[in-house]
Amino acid sequence: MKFIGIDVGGTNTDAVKIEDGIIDYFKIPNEWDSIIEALKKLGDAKTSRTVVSSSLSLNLLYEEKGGETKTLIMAGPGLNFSNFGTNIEGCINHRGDIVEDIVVEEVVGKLLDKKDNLAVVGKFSNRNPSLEEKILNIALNYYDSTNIALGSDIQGLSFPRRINTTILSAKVKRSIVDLTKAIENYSSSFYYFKGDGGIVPHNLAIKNPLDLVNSSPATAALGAYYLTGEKNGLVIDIGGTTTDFIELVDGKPKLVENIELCGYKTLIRSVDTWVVPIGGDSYIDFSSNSIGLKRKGNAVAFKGEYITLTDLLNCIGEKIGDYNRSISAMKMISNNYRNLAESLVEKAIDLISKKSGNPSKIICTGYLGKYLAPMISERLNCSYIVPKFAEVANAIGAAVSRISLMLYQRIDTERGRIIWNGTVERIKDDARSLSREEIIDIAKNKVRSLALRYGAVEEDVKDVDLLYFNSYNIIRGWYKSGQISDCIVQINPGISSEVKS
Amino acid sequence: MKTGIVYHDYYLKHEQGPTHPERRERLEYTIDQLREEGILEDPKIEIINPRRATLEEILSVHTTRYIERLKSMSEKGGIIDLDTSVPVGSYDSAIWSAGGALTAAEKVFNGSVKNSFALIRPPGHHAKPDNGAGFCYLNNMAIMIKNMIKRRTIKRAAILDWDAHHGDGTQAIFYDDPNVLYISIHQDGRTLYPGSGFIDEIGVGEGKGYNICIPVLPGASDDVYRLALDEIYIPLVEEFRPDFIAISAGQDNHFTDPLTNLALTSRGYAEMMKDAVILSDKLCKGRLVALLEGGYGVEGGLPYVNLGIIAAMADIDITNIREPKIYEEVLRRRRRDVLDSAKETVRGLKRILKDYWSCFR
Ligand SMILES: [Zn+2]
Repeated sequence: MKFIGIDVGGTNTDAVKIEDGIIDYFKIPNEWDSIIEALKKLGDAKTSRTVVSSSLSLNLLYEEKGGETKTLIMAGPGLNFSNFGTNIEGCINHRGDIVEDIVVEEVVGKLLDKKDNLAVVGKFSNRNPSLEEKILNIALNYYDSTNIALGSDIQGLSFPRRINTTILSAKVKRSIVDLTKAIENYSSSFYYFKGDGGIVPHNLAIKNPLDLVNSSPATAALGAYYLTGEKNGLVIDIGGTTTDFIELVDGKPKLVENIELCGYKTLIRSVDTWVVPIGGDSYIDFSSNSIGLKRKGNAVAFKGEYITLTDLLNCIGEKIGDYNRSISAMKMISNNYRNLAESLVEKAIDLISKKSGNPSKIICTGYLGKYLAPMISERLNCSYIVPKFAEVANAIGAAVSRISLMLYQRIDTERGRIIWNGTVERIKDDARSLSREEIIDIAKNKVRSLALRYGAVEEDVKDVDLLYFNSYNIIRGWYKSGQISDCIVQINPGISSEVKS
Repeated sequence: MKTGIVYHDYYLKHEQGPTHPERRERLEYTIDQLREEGILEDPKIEIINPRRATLEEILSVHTTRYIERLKSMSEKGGIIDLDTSVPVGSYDSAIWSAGGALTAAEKVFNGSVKNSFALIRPPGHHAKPDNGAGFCYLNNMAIMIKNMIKRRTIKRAAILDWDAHHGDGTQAIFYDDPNVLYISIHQDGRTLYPGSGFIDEIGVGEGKGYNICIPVLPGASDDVYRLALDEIYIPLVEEFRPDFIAISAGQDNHFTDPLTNLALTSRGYAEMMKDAVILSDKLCKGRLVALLEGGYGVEGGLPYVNLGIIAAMADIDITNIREPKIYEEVLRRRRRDVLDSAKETVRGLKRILKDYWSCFR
């Protein structure tokens, strides 16, 4: 089995192939179709497992190219959410019961004011998606399915956050669908790398494209762990345009719930990451002798026009790309170009170190990782590691990751319902009261069988973590009439056992 | 300034029996609703961790003998009355609950929040100095008020007890106390536990005139409560000029409550709380604490009622607070037009109280 990882970064698209522990890689400059180019170059995708990590969705949001979103909300009784979208009839209550139906004519009326994409979100819709699905069926007369996002695909409680997440989902869904279609021509089944460090089959990512947010730092964390075997430490991933920070704890990236994205408070879970906008391509602003916090083009060493951080490193003795070009360019700026370069590199190290906290160990990856690591570690007074292949750690992290899944389960025995990630199924009546162990087993078995169906191997689904458990009886008139339980389980992100062996 | 919500998972622990109506879902559904509405992370809201009440704080209200008895019952299990058993561990649950009430007041007076709502259980307003009763073990309200007075944090408190049941415990504790104005609106004692709370129960000794009972008939809805607040509660409190307003917020007058026969709506609750907040702004710098008492219509009513109360306290828009439409039929069946009899009660009360209050002269 070959493991292929493709990472679309800020400057380059990296592709790695791991076969029997041997790592092969190449880099190609980013173009709109660089993933396709990489796949073509890699050839026979059928005998390999392909994982793609793309910051496409995130960039689209940052660049505000997601288009205008029409938001239909079913706020029902409770607080007023009319500033979040167009409120319509329809209400699911906390039990997941339909307590107010939609009015078809009203929905049609509101849909006439058409935008680029559509978000449909109801309160508690994650406990019963049927009203949103009804609206979806009407909306398909006005919108393509790739431009519609439903709130019930997003797990966790918080109506305002579900609205925000669904809006962002609606904005990026089309781009993920298009990317998926393009890739499918070369690789019929592939996986996307998620922001929580796991991978999902491509068709699942389309349902919830925001799972892919922050995939780049997550790949760096997994790649760093795979390459070094270090279970704990701060991973500093210094790429072309940004420097990302991620903490490794017990061999896993540290995760955080409910991230804020482009000013929206969301229900997205991802690695706990922070960023400094400094990378090899950061141009140098000589008017103020400072590091420009953005990319204007390639480094001079790579045929660019602006002197960048990479060129500065070439002026203090490194040999990256056409380093003589870097030196000649700097000589035109200053006679004392070496000192100037040194002081400017110091400034970059300052900016990066300030954001690093107090780690006891840093693992530096990315294309400038090996050049800056000694200086950063000296500043932080800690040890450092730069693994071999650090320059493609992201793509490696993607290649070696395993399927990770999170399952939200709610069982309401009085209603005979079991809800798995927003999908409702019936349960038998005789399941009136389940023990804690039985409830957890149902969830664990479900998440395992889903993972296996998505292509995971037995070994990878053994460890399922219980993240949350709560259950209580339902009493009516002094008699017990049922039981409600909530349970969240997860197959942790990590290195796939297939790669290890 | 913020509104505090005192809450902790400890308040889910207490259970008298597997089918007893004073049970954890009372809070589970509410917390689900609050999470979904996003109110727990609203910048106007602060979640406050409670503490346990100390023995000294509890003994400011209850007798040593009762507390010893409660403690020992709580070790092996015991029984207080037909509806109130003492399962193992009850004492700990009860002191967490009383501690929640104290925390709610402390946070208001140390300026961390403007007002606060303690989502505590077990409830307290039937508990008397020497005995528990009606699902209650310790009188949370009395323990809070007595200790605030003892510490000289406050001098005069006005309690509004809108639980469907007459708060006979709280009444007994403050019956002779002119510094605590106790006003209870409840379902007529001839039709509901504990069978007391008639208009002539006005206090004794120095406390005469400072205990007010407003019994209402089964079927009473928002209009009746509106009348009681406008005609009795608001004028009395304005004349009394308390430095603290407390509310025994029982939610069992909601029209879905299975144990009572009243017909208040969640909007009605929110409006009552809004009035209390306005009063507190006018009279005592907004210092107000609400304590959860009863309320057993866990599914249809409680989530919306508690949401409405919190929204009213935090000055969040309450115009959309209502029940889902499928409950309209339930309300129609339960609600009765008893406004005329309520007006009669109000007239009777004013006659009795006019010797003590100039607003009724
Ligand atoms: Zn009550």
